Amino acid sequence: MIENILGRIKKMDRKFTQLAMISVFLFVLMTALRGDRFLRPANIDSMLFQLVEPGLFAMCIAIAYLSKGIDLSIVTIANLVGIVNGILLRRTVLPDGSNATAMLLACLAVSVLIGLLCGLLNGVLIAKVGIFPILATLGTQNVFMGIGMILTRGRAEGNFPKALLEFGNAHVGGVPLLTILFLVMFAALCAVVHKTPYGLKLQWMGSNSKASWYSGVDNVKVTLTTYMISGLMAGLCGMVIMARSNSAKADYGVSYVFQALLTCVLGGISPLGGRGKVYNVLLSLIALQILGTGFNMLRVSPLIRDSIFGFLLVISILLDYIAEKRRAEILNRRAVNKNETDPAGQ
Amino acid sequence: MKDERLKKLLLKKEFLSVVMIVLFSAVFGAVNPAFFTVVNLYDLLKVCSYPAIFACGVMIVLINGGVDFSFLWVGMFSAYSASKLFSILQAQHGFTAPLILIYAVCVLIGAILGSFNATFVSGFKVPVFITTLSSANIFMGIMFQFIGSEYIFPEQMPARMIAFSNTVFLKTASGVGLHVSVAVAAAVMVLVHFIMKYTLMGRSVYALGGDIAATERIGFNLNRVRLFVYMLAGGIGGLAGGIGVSNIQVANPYDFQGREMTIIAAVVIGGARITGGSGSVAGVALGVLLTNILSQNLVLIGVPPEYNKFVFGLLIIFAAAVQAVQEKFERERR
Repeated sequence: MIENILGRIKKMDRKFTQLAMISVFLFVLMTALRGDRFLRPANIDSMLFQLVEPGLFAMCIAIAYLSKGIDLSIVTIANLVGIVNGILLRRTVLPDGSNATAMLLACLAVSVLIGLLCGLLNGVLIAKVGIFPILATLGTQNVFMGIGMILTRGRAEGNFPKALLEFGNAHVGGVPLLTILFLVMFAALCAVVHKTPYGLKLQWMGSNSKASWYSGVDNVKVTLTTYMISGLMAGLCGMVIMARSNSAKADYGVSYVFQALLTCVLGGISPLGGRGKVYNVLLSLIALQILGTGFNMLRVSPLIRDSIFGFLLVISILLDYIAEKRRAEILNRRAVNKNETDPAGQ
Repeated sequence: MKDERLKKLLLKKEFLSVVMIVLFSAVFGAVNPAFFTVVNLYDLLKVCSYPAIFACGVMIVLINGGVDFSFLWVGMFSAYSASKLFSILQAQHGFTAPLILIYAVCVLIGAILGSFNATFVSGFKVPVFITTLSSANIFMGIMFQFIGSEYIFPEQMPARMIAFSNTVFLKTASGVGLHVSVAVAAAVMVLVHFIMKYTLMGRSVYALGGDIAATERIGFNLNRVRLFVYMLAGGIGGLAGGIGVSNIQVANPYDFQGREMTIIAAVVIGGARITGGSGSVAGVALGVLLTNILSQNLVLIGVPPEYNKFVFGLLIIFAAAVQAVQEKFERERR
């Protein structure tokens, strides 16, 4: 029985087990250190809430990484969405709030539209013009933030309708609605990347774009789709930020990009393209969330926290590198042994 | 024949920034004649001085094939540690450190931090920007935890640094002078140009950025080249930090925060290829000049400051697009 389970775990993705063990370890550690506060329902609830924004951004980065690219513009897309929606709501919602729900649905449509358009711009610059992803999205990051600044003159949009805030705070069966929606989107992204033809093409293109082109993959189309999906998720995240913080600002949450890059690398998505399983990102997200909450409770300053995250990243890269090297050595030794024994056997 | 020469000029990486600088200067000067005054020129050059030194370090790493995100924290770490060390020595032991010593310590600390970067980068097969992003966070945390996070005000700063920051030369009749940091920046640029162009190590940096496998087969020790690259870039970053701090006369640990992208963008606009193997000091100088002309002078012609980001973003995209097209042409010519 136990052997059976162990065997099954061994068969599974190595990264998955590793991350699951780290998450469980951190959870137990925090329970042991500050169990009284850590396990309180209010804390668990706020942790589930806090998962959503970095989670959505990490999804954007994950899909960009798989295509051997990067998307630095995600946070500014989200902020732009928030600002445009904020202006729209301020102009159109009646004082008594009777048309708020309809306008919020319109906002959702606007978010999707802006997200897709921004993503399309990124995609065109990368796939058609041929600019490197890091440069193209650095440029669009400034452009999107600039548009936000021009629209707001650097001030914040806020005071959104009550319906939006109620939606943001809603719970279904004790779990925050936003978290559930995030998990649904996450599952959808996993399915898209690992179960659809597009996902397969994405991974091919990420690992070797020349080979994928010669085998008939339309690299331009795949790149466009990738950045549009990334933009779409960033746009929806803009709605989430509106609902959660009741404000929208052109330079909100710039450090989310670093966090998302970190989450994906820890989750085993290779920035060199093509390799990695999207579901692992959820685990690394959970591990980082537990760690972040833990640091908060232990009163570690945010700057030190970022520094420890930096250490973590380097250590995880180091461990991956050692594991990879050892695996290569074992394979090598096997090959050598085979070559030595085979002729003798003949 | 003439056509061929024109094509060559158009394909030159630095050509674009020259054209844009001339164009923007003409427009700014036409709208507001104050643009073409010596005071404005001197101001512009002073603002450009320490970012230009930083940009030289960024360029070296970029040529080697990677985007360095840690340079500002390397600079701040070195400058802040040196200022703190010498301000304590000055206050408690009455030791007024000579300027050379202060900047030598900055360069040394920067080079040591750079060697950490080199270890990370040559050890792992991960993009440089990820390793340097995490090392930036590590440097920042170490600085705040173990060295300090409070401001060092002018009255506590090493006296020679303050005296240095008040030095000007090439005074005009009205008594306005060019800030001394511009001379330092120029010296660093000449030095880096010389190293990159005329030494074997410098050429090997270009080679490594162009083709790793070929460089290894020729017989270069890749790890040694990388160590050289990151230590040189780190040392330059340390010096830039020192100059930056003395320019402002206050060691404020948060001062450079969030300006990485502006400097990286300036280097790229100046024609350095983001995948490595190409880039020049002249291009860097032009790129820094161009970005600062824009950010400093849009206000002069009546554009509200909130347009800065937008224009800057457009500039990056435009420059990158032109580069991409140039490279396409080059590939077709071969």
